[in-house]
Amino acid sequence: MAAKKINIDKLIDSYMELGSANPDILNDMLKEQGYDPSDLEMRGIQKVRKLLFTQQVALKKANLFNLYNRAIEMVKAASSNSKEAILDMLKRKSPSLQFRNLEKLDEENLRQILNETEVLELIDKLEKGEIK
Amino acid sequence: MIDPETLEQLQAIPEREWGRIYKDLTAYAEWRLIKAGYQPRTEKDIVTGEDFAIQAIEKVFEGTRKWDFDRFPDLSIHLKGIVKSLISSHLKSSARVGVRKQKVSEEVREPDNITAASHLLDDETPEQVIITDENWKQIEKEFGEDEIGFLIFCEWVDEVPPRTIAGNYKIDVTDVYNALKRGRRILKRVFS
Repeated sequence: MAAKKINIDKLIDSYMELGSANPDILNDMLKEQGYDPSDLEMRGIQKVRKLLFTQQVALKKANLFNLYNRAIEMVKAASSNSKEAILDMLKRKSPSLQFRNLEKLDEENLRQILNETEVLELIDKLEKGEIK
Repeated sequence: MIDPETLEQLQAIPEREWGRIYKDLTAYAEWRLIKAGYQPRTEKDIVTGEDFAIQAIEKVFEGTRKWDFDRFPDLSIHLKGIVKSLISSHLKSSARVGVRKQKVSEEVREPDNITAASHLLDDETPEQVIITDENWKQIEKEFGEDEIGFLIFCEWVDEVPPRTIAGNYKIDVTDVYNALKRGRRILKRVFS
């Protein structure tokens, strides 16, 4: 047979295709590489569970941050009458917090006063012009 | 940070499938490390295929290597691309000192055929290995009476996809795998 140059990359890919298509072959390859396929699979699932949880929490946190900031922007852009009404409402909700005006209200303050549902209600009312 | 749409797509993948992806990715990374003949120089350099599989998955979850699921619906292909690039960077950072990695079974502790054939690598085309006429004769001899096994191996070397080989010979892919596995061991002997 004539001498032949072989492309290692292509051969590895085609060899790996067998493992990707057949679970028994994949397990055999992994055993040959020194892994316990069942343990490896379990570690993979646990890793993904953890990553899913972490990212869900991070996304929820970011969404909440955006939500409160949106409410603050809407409050600051509201008319003077609306601002007074909002200020009264916030004072009723949290009498211990001292507010002279809404200009200094930040995301952290609002989070202490209103929970997620309440802030959503506030945004809804501001959008509908129900706070006057 | 990951976008909600991508996270939703990742969540939709069943856990069992994640297990398969993780194993497939680890095996792929191990092969690439073996191919590169990688050996760590320092403790920091010690990595396994699983380490690269984890890093690739983390990068997708963190959104640093965004998965375009509309264009490339097969996540495995995207992850393998990331693994390939991570290994390439790691090899560069460890100055490509040719060695082996830490986590290997006794069975593969001896030099792999590809690693053993590294002296045949052409500098200009480092991904290629030459099988000479003499090598072929030795390979055929080692296959002995297993003529079908030898033919399967030759087709594979000719870059015929294993599943096509199985179809051509009307045999199961497992039989193709066994022939290739045997061929790899023979190559190892031929080039050692």
